[in-house]
Formats: sequence, C-alpha cells, structure tokens
Amino acid sequence: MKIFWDDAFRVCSIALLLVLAIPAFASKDLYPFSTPDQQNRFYTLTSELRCLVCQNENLAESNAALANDLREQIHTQILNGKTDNEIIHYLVSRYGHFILYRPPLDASTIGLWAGPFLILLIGIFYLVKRAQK
Amino acid sequence: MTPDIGLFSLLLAFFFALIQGVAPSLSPRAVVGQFFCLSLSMFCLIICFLTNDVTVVYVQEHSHALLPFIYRIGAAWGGHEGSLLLWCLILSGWTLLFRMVGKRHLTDSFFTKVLMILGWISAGFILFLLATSNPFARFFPTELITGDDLTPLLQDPGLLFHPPMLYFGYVGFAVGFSFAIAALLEKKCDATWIHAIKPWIILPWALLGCGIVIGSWWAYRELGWGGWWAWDPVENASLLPWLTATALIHCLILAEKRDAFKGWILFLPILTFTLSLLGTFLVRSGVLVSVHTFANDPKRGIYLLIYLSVIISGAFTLYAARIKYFYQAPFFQFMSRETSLLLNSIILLTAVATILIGTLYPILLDALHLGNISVGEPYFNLVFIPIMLPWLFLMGLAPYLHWKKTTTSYLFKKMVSPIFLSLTLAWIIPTLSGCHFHPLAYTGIALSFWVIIATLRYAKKITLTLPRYSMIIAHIGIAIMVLGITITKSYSEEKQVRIILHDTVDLAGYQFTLNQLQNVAGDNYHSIEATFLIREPNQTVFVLSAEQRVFVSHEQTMSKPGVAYNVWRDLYVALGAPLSDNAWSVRLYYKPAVRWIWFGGGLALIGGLLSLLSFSRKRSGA
Repeated sequence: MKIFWDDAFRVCSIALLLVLAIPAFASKDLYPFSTPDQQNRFYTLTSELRCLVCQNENLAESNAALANDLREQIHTQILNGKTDNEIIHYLVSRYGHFILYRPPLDASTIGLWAGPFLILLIGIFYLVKRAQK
Repeated sequence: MTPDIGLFSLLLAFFFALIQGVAPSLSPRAVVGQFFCLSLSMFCLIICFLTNDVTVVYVQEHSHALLPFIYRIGAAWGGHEGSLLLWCLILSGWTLLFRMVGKRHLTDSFFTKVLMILGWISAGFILFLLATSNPFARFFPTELITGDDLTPLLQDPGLLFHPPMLYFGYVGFAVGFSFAIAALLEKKCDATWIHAIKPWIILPWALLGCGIVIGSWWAYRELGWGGWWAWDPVENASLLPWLTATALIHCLILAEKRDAFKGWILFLPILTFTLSLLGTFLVRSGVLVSVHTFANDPKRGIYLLIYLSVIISGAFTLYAARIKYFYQAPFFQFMSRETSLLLNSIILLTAVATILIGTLYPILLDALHLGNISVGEPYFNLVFIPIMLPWLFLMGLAPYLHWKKTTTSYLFKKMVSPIFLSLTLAWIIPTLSGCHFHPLAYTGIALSFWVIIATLRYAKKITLTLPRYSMIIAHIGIAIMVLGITITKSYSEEKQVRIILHDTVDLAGYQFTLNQLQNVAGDNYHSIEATFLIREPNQTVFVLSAEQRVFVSHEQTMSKPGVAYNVWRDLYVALGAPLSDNAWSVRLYYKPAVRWIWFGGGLALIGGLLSLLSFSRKRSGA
C-alpha cells in the first residue's frame, strides 16, 4: 500500500511540475526568440563576433557594456527578420573588419586563408618526390 | 635587506652563467653556483611577498595586505618580472639535472659543449632581467599603502601549478636545443646521441602538455563561460613547441630505426626551442595586445627581439652550414612506416604554421597599415580542423605499415574491418543515445573510434613491450581527447536566462531551480552566492552553487561558476549581472564528455612518460 502511495505521489508531483513548468519555460530566456532557428543563429553570430573593448573575447562571452549593447542590437535585428549577412554588413560598416573573428577572404588576407594549405601541399609534394618507386 | 640579498644573488648568478658559458673546465661547478644563487633570489622574492614588503615595486604591484597566504607564493610569479626569474631558475634547474644525470655515455667534449651553450642562454636571460625587468627594484613610499593586489583571475590554485608547469616544459627544450647545436658543432649525430636526447625531449614535452591541460581546465572553471580553449594568442604560443616536440619524438624513432633522417632530428629541437622563445617574446613583449603597446614600452620587447634573433640566426646559420655532413638518402617507398612518420611531421608542422599565421597575421597587417582584422575560433575551425583530420586517420594506420615498403593489398586486408566497424559504431552509438546526426560530429567520432579500434587490434597481435604500451596509451589518449572535443562541440546546450528566486529553467532534460541567494564574505572579497537545485532526468536532486565575487582592492567583479560533473557530462552554472526587479542573468550549460578532453590529454602524456621508464630501465641494464 505504501509503495502505491509513493508512486502515486511521484506521478502527481511530476505531472504538477510539468504543468507548472510549461508556461514558465517560454519567457525565461534573456534573449527570447520565436523559433529555435533564430536562437541558433543568435548563438552562432555572437560567438563569431569580437567584443571590441575586451582583450580577446567574443560577444557571447563578454560582460562588457558594449558587448551587451551589441547583443541587444543583434537580438532586435534577428527578431526584425534581418538575415545574418545583413547584420554582419551593418556591424562591419560601423566597426570595421576588426569585429569579425572570421576575416573575409580578400587580397590582404589571401595568405591567411591559403597559406596553411599551401604549406601542407608543399610538404606532401616533397614527401612523394622523396619516396622511391 | 631581503630584496638586496635577492638582487645581489641574481647578479652573482649572472657571473656564474658567464663562467659556465666561457670556461669549459669550470662549467660543471658554475652550474651548481648558478642554481644556488637563482634559488636564493627566488626565495628572497617569495619572502618579500610573504612579508608584503611594499617597498619592492613588483610586490607593491602584485600583492595586497589581504591577499591569502598561498596566493602570495603564487604571486611571486604572477607578473612579468617574477615569471622571468622563475624562467631563469627553471633553466638552471634543468641544467643542474643534466649535469647530474646526463653524462653517462656522452663524451667529455660533447657534455661540456651542452653545458656551455646552456650557460649562454641563461646569461642572456639573466641580463634581460637585470637590465629591463628587475624584480627587486625599490620605491620607498611616503604614505601607507597596501599594494595593488593580484589580478582576481589569478587568485586560484591553478596559479601555483600552471605557470611553473608550462615553464618546466618551455625551458626544458633548451637542453634538446643545446644537444642539437653541440651535434652540429661536432659534426656527429649517432645512435648514442639519439638515445641520450630522448628523455630531454619527452620530459619537457609531458610537462608542457600537462601545463596546457591544467591551463585549459583552469580557464574552464575560472572564466565563467564554459570554454576550455579560446585560440588565444597566449594559449597558441604554448601549443607551438608542444606540436613540434611531438613531431620530434616520432622522428627520433624513425632516425633510430633507419640510422638516417638526421636533418629532421637536428632541425626539430632547434625549432622547438625557438618557438618556446618566440612564445616568451610574444607573451612578454606586449606585441599581442597591440603593436602599439610594444612601441610604448620598447625596452623589453627590443631586448627580447635581439636575443631571439641572435639565437635563431646563429642556430639556423650553423644548421645550414653543417647539415651537409649529415645527409643520407635511405630507401623507402611511399607506402611505408617512414612515410607515415614523415607525414606526421609535415602535418604537425603545417599545424604549427597555421597557428603562427593565425596569430601573427593580424599583427603584421596592422604593422603594415593594411587593415585591422581579428583571427579567432571560427578561422581555426575552418583551417586547423581539416588539416588535423587526416592526421587522426594516419594515427590509426601507421602501426600497420612496415618499414621500407608495404603492399597495398596487405594494408587493405588489415584495414577493411576496423574502418567498417568504426564507421558503423560512430553511427549506431550516438543514435542509440538519442543524439541527432551531425556530419562533423560523425567524422570526429568515426575517426576517434578508428584510432581506438585500429590501435587495440594492433595491440592484440604483437608482443607488448614498454615502448609499444607507451604508443598505444598515448594514441588512445589522443583519440579520447578528440572524442571529447567532438561531442562537447556538437552536443553542448546552453541558455542565457533571466530568473528570480524559485524560478525553474529546463536545459537538456535537467531542471535548474534558483533556490537561494545569499551574501558570503571571503578573505579579500565579498560575494553573492546563488544556490540551484538541479533535478536530473532520473529525478535525483542535488545542489549546485555559483558565485559572483567582488574583490575589495579593485571593486572588480568575477564570476565563480558552479560545476557538477560525472563521467558523461558537466552541468555548469555561471551567475551573471543583477538585472531589474530582483532578477539575475544566469548562464546554464550542459556539456557532454567535456572531461574526456583533459582525461584523454592526461592519458597521452602518461603514455609519453611511460616510454621514459623503458629508457631508464635500458640504461641501468646497460
């Protein structure tokens, strides 16, 4: 009999928790979004952008006031239906390429993007030449 | 009085280092003298911290009357001057160790040459300390001061172990460097040399690795956002020599077996120590923060730059001039153990080049006024990871390759079932545990399984000797680490929420309830402690607290996260800033397998150290 009551109590408390929990979950996010996709975009964007006033921290991690402002802005822009490219374009036009942790590929960054792969190719080429048939 | 004794013995240490560098007959004795003087100097600095002697500028800048006792010891190397003194002390410690146990099979002239080279390296650094970064510089204040305090971030037990561990590694490579230079000078690099250099590479390699792992763990529990590696320039600098040393350890096996490839094994120790010095330069000169800070306080940066260029240009000129005496062209086919070990070096050196490019490119562009860019994690994810994936494949494959040549059909026969097994398991296991499919996660998990399965299968077929145990453990360690990285990266969940007392938030099946908020007073800070009740999916409940600390001396706040862990996952709670209406901003993380990263890394290092055991056994038997 005791077991029955324990179980019943457990079931009821879980049910109660679920009922209480469902409405509560929706509004707790500091940056609430309407879809999980928007949420993911927010996390990806803020983790790929630099906090401009910190030593070396991204927007997602930083506690600086500027980072807070920029997070708010990105949040609003995503809610307003802006695409990632539009948001990035907006931020770059205001703060320059320094804000991007993934620099764009252009004439000045060609060495940055191609260099490592070129070195690997040269190494493998040397090795293939060195080995005998 | 104490700071004066410290400075005097530092000066004395400089003369001992000079004697060690110029007088072959006195070298071995000067080593002992130098070590004694540097120890005394360090001891004096620690005493200055323990007594909070604020007339010493360095103490005044890094200590505080309220700083807890153990952090005062750590604070002795918590700043620029003290950490360089530690650098010198550790170098002299390595030299002393080499003098005591390194002699055995080496010739007198070689032994003395190594000691002399180490003497010069040490003299250069002690001079740097005396000329630009005197830790014992005095300033007599006219009013009562308590000190500027140690940065709150450094007030953690990690400070006591992390920097010394890193330095033991960094500086230890000086011995291997001296071995290579001495071999180039003597135009001789034989089996005895290879055998003798091994412990002087493996030991610092393991210590540096240990330092990196501790640093990663420290960042994880201190910085408050659950990160364990940020591709920060300072972290990058420590990874560089570790990667080249890993390449060297493998090349030593190659050179030992084939009595060839001497060019590689002489080049890599020089490169490794050069990168250690480069790391010290990058961190200590201020270049990393901005090229402009370098220009503001140029004395230190310029001295280090000159010191670095003398060592690099000297060593590599000598290398270029002497390498012709070591040239051999051994036979091997493309499908062979030789290729795999050389390819290992090539991939690791490419990784080193990638990190160097990623770290230095922004500085270069800025210096040339070509723009101001940032290079961070997304760059390394895109470039570093694709380069390292073939390396993992190679790690499983290499043990099956024979020396000189291997037939493709033999390899195919051996490889089919492990490849098939790892591809299948990497699909089945995550699916059964309810994880959604993710292409990069699948690649990482499949490659880790491949390394583990292929290595264990290899282990079953052979007679196990110590070096083989060491290889098997190290490779499996790396595979576990990669598995941890992949799973954490792909399946972590996080939430940044705004909650008030008794609110409940759900994350990854766990329910976090903010149960209590209270004020707590520490030695030199006061904090707000938030206690959470966490209900697991299986309904067990436990308590986890996170703090927001405000340090008395700076009014600086720091988040002290709460971490609950088991083998499978970490739950990580960081208390953020207070918001309006009694609400708090809180970050919650669910991080599966994050601990495997450090466990795997540790296992790899234990594997490496194990091979040292076989070394000492062989030695005593001989």
